[in-house]
This record gives sequence, C-alpha cells and structure tokens, in this order.
Amino acid sequence: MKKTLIVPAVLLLLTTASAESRLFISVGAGFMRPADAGFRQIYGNQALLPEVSAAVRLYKGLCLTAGAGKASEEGRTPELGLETKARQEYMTVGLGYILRISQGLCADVNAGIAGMRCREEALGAMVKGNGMGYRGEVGLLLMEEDGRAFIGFRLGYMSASVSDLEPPMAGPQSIKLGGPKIALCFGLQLFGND
Amino acid sequence: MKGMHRSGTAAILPILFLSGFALLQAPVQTQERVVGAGRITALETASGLRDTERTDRVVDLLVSRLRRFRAVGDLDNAGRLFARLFPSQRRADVDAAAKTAGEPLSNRVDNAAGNVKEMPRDAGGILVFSSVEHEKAPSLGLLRSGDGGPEILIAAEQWSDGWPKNIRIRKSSDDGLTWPDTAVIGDGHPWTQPSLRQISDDAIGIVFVKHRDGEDRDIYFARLSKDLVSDAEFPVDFSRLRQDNPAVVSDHPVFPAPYVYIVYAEHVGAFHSIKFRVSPDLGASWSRPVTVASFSGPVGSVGETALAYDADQNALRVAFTCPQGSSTGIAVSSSLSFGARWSAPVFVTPADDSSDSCPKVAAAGGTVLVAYEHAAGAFGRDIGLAYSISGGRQWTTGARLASSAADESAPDLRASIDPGPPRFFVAYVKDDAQVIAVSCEGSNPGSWTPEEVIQDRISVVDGGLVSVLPMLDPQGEISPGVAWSAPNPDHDVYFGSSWLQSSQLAAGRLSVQPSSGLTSTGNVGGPFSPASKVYTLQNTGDAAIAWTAAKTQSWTTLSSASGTLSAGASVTVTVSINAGANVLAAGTYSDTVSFTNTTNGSGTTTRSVSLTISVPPGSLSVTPVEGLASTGNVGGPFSPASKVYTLQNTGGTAIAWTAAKTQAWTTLSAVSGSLNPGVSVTVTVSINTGANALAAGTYNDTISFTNTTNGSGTTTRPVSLTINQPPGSLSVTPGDGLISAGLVGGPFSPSSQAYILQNTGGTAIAWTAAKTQAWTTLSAVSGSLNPGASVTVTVSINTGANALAEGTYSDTVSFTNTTNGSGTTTRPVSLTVSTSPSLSVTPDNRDVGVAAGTTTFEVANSGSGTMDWSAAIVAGGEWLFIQSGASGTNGGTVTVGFTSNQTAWPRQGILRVSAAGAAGSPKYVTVAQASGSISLGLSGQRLVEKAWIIQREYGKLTVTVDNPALIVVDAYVIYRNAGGQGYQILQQFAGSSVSGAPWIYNDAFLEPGTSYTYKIVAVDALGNIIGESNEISI
Repeated sequence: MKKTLIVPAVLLLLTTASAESRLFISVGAGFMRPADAGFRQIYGNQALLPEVSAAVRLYKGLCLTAGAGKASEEGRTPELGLETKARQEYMTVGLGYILRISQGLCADVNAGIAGMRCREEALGAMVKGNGMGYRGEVGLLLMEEDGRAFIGFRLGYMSASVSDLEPPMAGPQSIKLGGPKIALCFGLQLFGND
Repeated sequence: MKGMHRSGTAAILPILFLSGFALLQAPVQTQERVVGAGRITALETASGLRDTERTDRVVDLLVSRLRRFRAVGDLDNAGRLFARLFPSQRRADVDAAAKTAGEPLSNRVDNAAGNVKEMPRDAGGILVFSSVEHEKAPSLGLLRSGDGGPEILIAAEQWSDGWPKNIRIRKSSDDGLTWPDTAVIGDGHPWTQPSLRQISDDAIGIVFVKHRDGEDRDIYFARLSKDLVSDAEFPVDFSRLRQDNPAVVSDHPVFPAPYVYIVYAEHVGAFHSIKFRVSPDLGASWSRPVTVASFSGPVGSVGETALAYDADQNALRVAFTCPQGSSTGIAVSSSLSFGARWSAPVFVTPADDSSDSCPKVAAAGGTVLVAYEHAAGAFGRDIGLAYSISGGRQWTTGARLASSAADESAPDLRASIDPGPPRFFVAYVKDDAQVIAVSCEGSNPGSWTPEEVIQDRISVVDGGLVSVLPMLDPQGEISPGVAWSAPNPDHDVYFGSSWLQSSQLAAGRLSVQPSSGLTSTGNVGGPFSPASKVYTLQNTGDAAIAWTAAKTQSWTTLSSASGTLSAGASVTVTVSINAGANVLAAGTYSDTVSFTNTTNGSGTTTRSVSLTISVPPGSLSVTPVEGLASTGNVGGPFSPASKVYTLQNTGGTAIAWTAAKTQAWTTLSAVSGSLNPGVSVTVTVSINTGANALAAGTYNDTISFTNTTNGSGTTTRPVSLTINQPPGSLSVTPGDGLISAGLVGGPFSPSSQAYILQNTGGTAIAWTAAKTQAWTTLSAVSGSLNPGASVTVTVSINTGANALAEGTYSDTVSFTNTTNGSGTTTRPVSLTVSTSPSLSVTPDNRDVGVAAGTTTFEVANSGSGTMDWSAAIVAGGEWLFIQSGASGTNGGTVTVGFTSNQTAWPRQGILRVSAAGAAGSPKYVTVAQASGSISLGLSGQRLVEKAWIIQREYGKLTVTVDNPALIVVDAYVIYRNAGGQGYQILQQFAGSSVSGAPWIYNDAFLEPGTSYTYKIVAVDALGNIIGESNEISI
C-alpha cells in the first residue's frame, strides 16, 4: 500500500522534473527528538537524522516534494547494560509551496504522507515494524545570487504509529515513530533560472 | 641474352669458388699419368678436371706449410696437412683384409741358422751371410746414431730348402770387418727383395715382398730397432694383385719426425702401375697409394723401380722400367711434394731397340743420376747412365758408364752427402767375376774415377743385385762399400770396400764388441743394474796391436786399462759401476769409455756409459721387530699392556701407511697416515678392556703395517695374550663388624652377625675362622671353598655375655685363607653392657583447632640411668613443626607448632621421640587438627530487562561466601535446573576471582513460564566439593 503510493509519486516527480526542468534537490542533517519515551529512555532524547529531499516546481511556487531520512542509534539496557541498536527510516512525498520573500530569500512550506519503519536489535533478539504517517515542514531558503544554490533551515514534524511488530514480542504492543526535528540543508536548483 | 650471360657468370662464381675448395680437399693422387708404349701420355684426373693449376697451387701451399711445420717439429699441424695431402682410404680392401686376418705381423725368427760356415777373409770381401742355404739380394744401409761411429747394415734374402724364406739382417760396427749382430725375420711365407734404409735415429726400415699363393705378391715393411733386438712388421699393400720391386728411402735426418717413402710396381696382367706410398709414423701406417705412372707391357720386363731422396731439394725421384718403343726403357718421375704429386715421367734412355733394365737412381744437391743395365746386343751388357744437373728438368741421356767389351751388369747407385760435397758411387758386376766401383763428383756427373776392383778372386759373382754404400772409411775418406751375392757353393753375401783391401786387412785392427754401451740404473745409494758390462777386444788384423782403455768418471772402473793383442787374439775388459756411484744424487750421469788402438788407430772406438739414478721409493720400516706378548689373569690386568712401534719412511718418496688388527681386544693408537722421507711416527698396540672378558687361554692377533703406496716394507707384528686362572681368594662380606648392646644380664641386640665367605679366585682354597673371647661363638671354624663357592659363618653373642658387668667389650674374628693368604681378613665384635633407662612421652595425642597454634608433649625417664632423647616430626611435616625441645636428657618438654588447616579435611601429624638404649624407645605421639569449613549462601530474583521495543526475563543470583579458615577454593560452580530437566553447569568461576563479599550473577535470559532452580558449590583443586549452597527457585 505504501509502495503503491510512494513509488508512483517519485516517478511522477522525476518525469515532471525532466520535462519542466525545474528541480530543487537538497541534502541535510538535523536532529530529531523521538516521540517514543521508551526510545528516548534507551537511546537518548535526540537522534541524528541525515536527509535528502527534492522538489519540482509545478506552478509558480507550488511544488511536488519527496524526501527520505534515517536515524540510527546505539544504547545499553538499564539493568544488565547490554548493547542495543535501533533505527528509524522514512520516505515521504507531498506538496509544497515556495514563496520568494526577496532576491535571495525564500520561505517554503510542505506537507505530505510518510512511510516509516523501525528496527531494534537487543537482548539477543531482533524486531522490526513499519507504519504510515504524516510529515510537515516549514523553512527558510537563502539563495545564491544566481539562484542555483541555496542553504536552508527547516523545522518539521513527522509521526507514525507501528503496531505490527515482527516477531511479536512481549512488551509494548504499539510504538511511536518520528517526532519534531530541526535541520540544516544544502541544495541546488536545476534546469531553471528563476 | 647478354644479361643472362652476366647473371650466369655471377651465379657461377660461387660455384667455381666451391669447386676450388673441393679441389683443395680432393686427393691429389688421383692425377695419374701413363707411360704408353713408346710415348708418355699424361692422363687427366679421374673427375675429368683438366685445369690442375688451381690444385697445383693448393698443393704447393700445403707442401710449403707442411715442410715448414715439419722443420720446426710442429707435428700436430704437420699431421693435419699430411691428412689433407694424403686423405685416408675410404674403402677397405675386404679381400686383402681377409687375407691378412689373424696373420702375425711381428714374428722374429729365433734360432735361425746363422753363419755356420767359416768366414774367411777374402781379398776385398768379407763373408757376411754364409749359411749352407742361399743368401741373396743384399741391400746396404748406413746407421748413424749418437752411439759411436756409423754402422753398416745389410739385409738379404735368407733362403731355406732351396726357396726364399726369411730376411736376414747383419750389422757391422767396424766398417765391415766383422758382423756380429744379426736378426732374422719371417713368418713362413717367402720374403724377398729387401730394401733397407735408416728411417730414424734409432730405427731402420726394410721394405720387402711377401710371396703368397700363385702370382700374389704383397709389399710389407719391417721396422727394427738399431740394435736389431726388436722388430715389427706392417702391411703396405696387400691386395690380391701382384706388387713387387719395392724400394724405400727416408727423409731422415732432414726432419725431426722423418717420413718413410716406398715405391713399388703393381701388375694386373699386362697392365702395370708404379705406386708410391708414404708413412708419417715410421711405417706403422701408410698413405693410400699414389700412382706415379701406369702403362701396359709384357709381363716380367717392366716395373723395376728405384727411389731416391734429395735432401737439398726435398725431392723424391723415381726411376722405373717401362716399354719404350719396341723395347724397354727407363723413365723418371719426380715429386717436390712429399710424393703427393708427381711430374710427368720422362724417358732417360734413348729410344732404340736395346733393352734397358735394373734402373738405379740417386739424387743430391739437385743432381739426379740414373744408372741402368743396357743390353748391348752381341757384346753383352753395358752400364748406361743418364743424369740431370737441373733437378730433373733437363737430362743427358745415352751415356755409358761402362761399355767395355766385358759384360757389365747389375749396377747400383748411391749418393754420399757428407762430409764434403755430394758424390755419386756406382758399383756393378763385371764378367760375373769382379765387383767394380766408380764414383764422380756431384757437380760433374760426366767424369768418373777409374774402375776400382772391390773383389776379383771369386770366380762367379751372382748376376743379381749389387748394393753400394758410400761410407767414411777409417782414413776419413768417402769410399764405396759394396755387398754382393756369390755362390760358395751356395749363395752367400759378401761385403767389400776399397778400404778392406788386403793391405788394410793385413794391419792390426781393434774390434770391440758388443757395440752397445753400458746402461745402468738404480736408486740413490745403489746398487745399480747391470753393474758392469764385458767388452771383448779382438785384433781382427794380421799384425799385433797395442790398446788402451780409458774412462773419465770416478764412478766407473775398468778391469784393464791397456795391453797388446796379437793377430786374432782377444781380451775382455769389464766396465763396472763402482761404489763411487753410491754417493751420487738422483739424476742421469754419463761416461765414455775409449778403446784405442795405439798402434795404428784402426778400430779405435768408444762405448758410452749411462747411469740413471733414481730416488728410491718410500719404504716402511717398523721397529721393534718383536711382537707384543702380554699375560694376566682372567679379568685382567695384563702386562705389558701395550707396545709402541715406530714406523719410519726409510725411502726417498712419501708413503701412506695403514695399521690394522683383527681382534676386538686390541687397540691401535693410529690406523693410517702418511710419512715423508725420513719421518717417523709411533703406533701403540694396546690390550684393551675387551680382554677382561676373555676366559683363560692363549689368544693371538696380528697387527698389519701396510705401505699402501708401493707395498715396500709392509710387515706384521704378532700379538700374543696369555690369560691365566686367578689364584683362589677369600672374600668375607659384609665388611662391618658385629656391634651389639644390651642391659646387664642380656639380652643383647643384635645377637649375631652372619658372614659369607666366598672363593672369588680361580683355584680352591682352605679357610679358618677364629675368635678370642668366650662370650662369642662361631658357627664354623674351618673349611674349603672351590672357585666361586661360598659358606656362611655366624658370629654370635653367647650366654656368657649375660654375666658381664656394665661396660664395653670387644673381640676380633679372624678369617684366614690358609692356602695362599689371599683375602685373609678380620671383623671386630663390640659388646656394650649397660643399665636400663625407660622412655615415656605424654600425652599420646593432642587435638588442636583449625587455627594455627602450638601444643606440648612431656618427655620423662621412667627407668634408671641416664637417657638422652631426641624428637622429630615423622608425619605432617608440611604443617607440623617442633618449635622447641627437640632433644634433651632424661625429662623435658617438646613444643610442637602447627599452621592453620586451610583444607576441608582434618589432618594428623606424628612426633617421634627416640632415646638410644631406653626401654620403650622410640615413642610416637600424634597431633590431630580439625578441618576448616566453607558455607555458601544463594538468593535470587526473576527480573525483566527492557530495551526500546524488546524486553526479556533474567535471573539475578546473589551469592554469599563464608570461609573463615581461608580454605583454598579452586572454583565456584553455579548449577541451573531449567524446568526440572536436571542440574547443568551454568557458569564456573575461579576461586581466586571471588572475594568474600556477596556477589551477583545474572542469568540472562529466562524463558517465560519456565521455572529455574539454582545452586552453587565450591570445589578444591582435586575437584572435591568443599562447600555447597542452598537451592533456590525463581
């Protein structure tokens, strides 16, 4: 279900970009505060989140957006001090709008759906699961003079809930993925001049 | 076409070059020439090659270089050039090989008849061969060598039973007066037509015809040593054709390694060839034949050959008879190429109807002379002459050397070379009664001396061969010596010369025989062999002579130094190597003994003395000459135990030596080595310990001292070992005496001592045992023992000692070998009688705790007298020790210390208290120490460990250890029983890793719903469980 939504969206984004020659791509890194308290108890209150995103301008400031990111963390169990590993990943597509505020400054806002999945290895076992959620971001983009390159600062939030864990485990039967995040990114505008 | 011609020319140049090279390789003797009937025709080569110019140049080059190499003695290069000039035959004559298969080639005829007839002097002639059989066809030769003056050699046919048989050779060392040395060679076939020449400094060669079946004649060559002692025969041409009329010359002494040349005729029906061969190795091998000329003509009238060598021009000249017109003439061919190539033959006789035969040729200084027999019709025979003073290019023919009305025949011609200018001598027979000799200067061959009659008293001279030899007569003049054959009544061979006329024969003449010198050899210090040589001095003349003999060296001795000899008388003079030679060093020494005819000098001669002194070979000398004779008893030792031999090299060269033995009981200090001259070394022959195991008897060994270099002095030395039985000997064991003690009134301990008496010798002995005190008793006092036998004698303290008061008493027991005293000995007896103390120790046992500490025992003398005691730990010494009171007198306290018991087991130690002579001694008391303990406590909880998503149960175990005695724990083992499946080891910890405080172990993880039971145990190093906890379940 998730693939049936995300994959066609990405294909649409790519075909549109190639046709209209207006494409923004960016890479960035930020910190996410995991929404799940159990995650924070073991792995801490913040997780490093590398991301990559792209946006194709559809009409004026309206864009089709897509992105992906992954947060991996290591920790120890509280009593026995055994090593644990966990990670959260997401892929998202949505719509955004870029508003040019001045010659070198833009604001953007976007929102979309997010497919997320998680995985943990601890106490001699491994468990994983996935779920669908949402994502929303706002940011400021500082454009280069010729408008080709930009850096951005973004604030966002994404959330998903997982209840189908493999294999079934004793313990919490539903966990939260995602959480608020803050990120810096660097990007390029391709195929367009304005 | 023109281009084609140039191409063809260019293409043919390499071919021509290669053809020239092929010509260079081609056997040049393929160029043949034929003397046809009445004319000489030169044939071309068999290959049809007409242009011989290039080949001639190649041959000229090869000959020039060969002459140069031969002149300097470069035999390797000379051999290679010879092989190119005379390629070896590629095809063997199978028939000829079969004909000679198994045929002996060297076959001296021993015990052949010699001069059995009297040899009277004849006027002008000396009878040389005079057996009752025919001797014919003499051939003269002159032998020049370093030993004395030239010698004359004659070879002639020696007939037997009316047929030719052998070749006889004689040699004269006194200008033909006497012919003492002789040799006869043959192999059963008729050997004829000998032609003799000196071919090297020490060898002569004779070419001859060997007759086989029918008309088959072969050419052979015999080589003899100059003393005629050894000979060897080699085939030259032995095909099934007829070969005859051989002649031989040599280029000795022009070249260091002379060649031998032979020319002969070969006949095939009416077809004749003049063949030539050359040998580079003194006749041992021969080149393939070179055809000088070929022609046809009637059998028997052509093919006579003569050969001459001109040393001045290095030219070979061949003269031969061949058809000329309607008769027979003489043709000459020359070669300046060692015979590889011959000139076209030219006739040197006029073309007329008269027959010419018996050609002889001589050449010297470029002058060539040919003498021959010329049939003069009704007037008999003349001696014809042709000569060339231009090396054979132009000839003067038709001259007559002797053309009187008399019948002159059988000429022989020879040139003299030195001293002086060349001179030619001719001898011939006149009217079958006289032998005539004439001569001319080489520069003027047309002017001859008057006829000189060599002999004229023998009525008939054989019309056969006459041989002339220019020789230096005693007056220093060149005069002809002539040999001929004449019936006497059978044919004998005579020798005559102008010097051997009656006047000379009438004078006294010294003859010294043998002609050889004294050649002696030996080692430094002598002796020398032969030590002497006897010479016979004979006056062969008709008047008395005086003679002297002289030498120059001090190491030679002459038995006589002078004397006189009447006509025909003889005396012997012995030339000896005297003792003066014994001091000469190694080397070669020479002397010359001069025999002088002081009357007229005739026959004065010398004989050489050669002494070769060699370094004596190394020789091994071993001293002393006695062997080693050693004796001893069985088991040894043996005396003398060794003997030293001195090995010395008494020779003059180094030697290697070995020493060897055969028995294991001998030892050699050295077994091999080397010794320089005069050096010595010692070798010790020893009797080793292996002899100790030998039984009585006599043993022998032989030590071989071997000179492995040459065997000289190799010798042996005997070793004799005589082993005797040892005399009987008394052995008494043990060596200790009897030391006994006890309280007054007894008993005494020990009460006795048994001694074993044994005969350890090889012969029987008698023995006695004796004591001196009444309180001792001997179980036996005498007896006898065979070798190896034994008996026991017990020395006892008897009841007489019970009455002894306190004190110390002694006795001596004597064991005596009454046979020979060997082994006689004594044993002491000591008896101590005392009053009685009594030892008591209290308490018998002490129980002590697990902790370290001390305890005490009380020692007391509960008897009388004085008691000295001592204490010692005899068990438990690793934890029990005497702290104080280890010894004392009468009473005292022994304080025993002990360490804490860190084991889980109780333990016991033993203390021994001893007091010599005290009743109750020794006394053993014990110390028993309690064991330590360890207690383990175990509690547990079942808890849950949580990650983010994953959570699992685990057991938290708390262990407490109580080990007050500090028992050494090797390991703690935690057991777990999961779900009632039984205990299994869950974890194991080293004992040293656990401290006394409670410690926690987490059992991760537990299966939900499963009950787990735990316990923990402590084990020691041996695996024993020394502590165990309670069980808990979670």
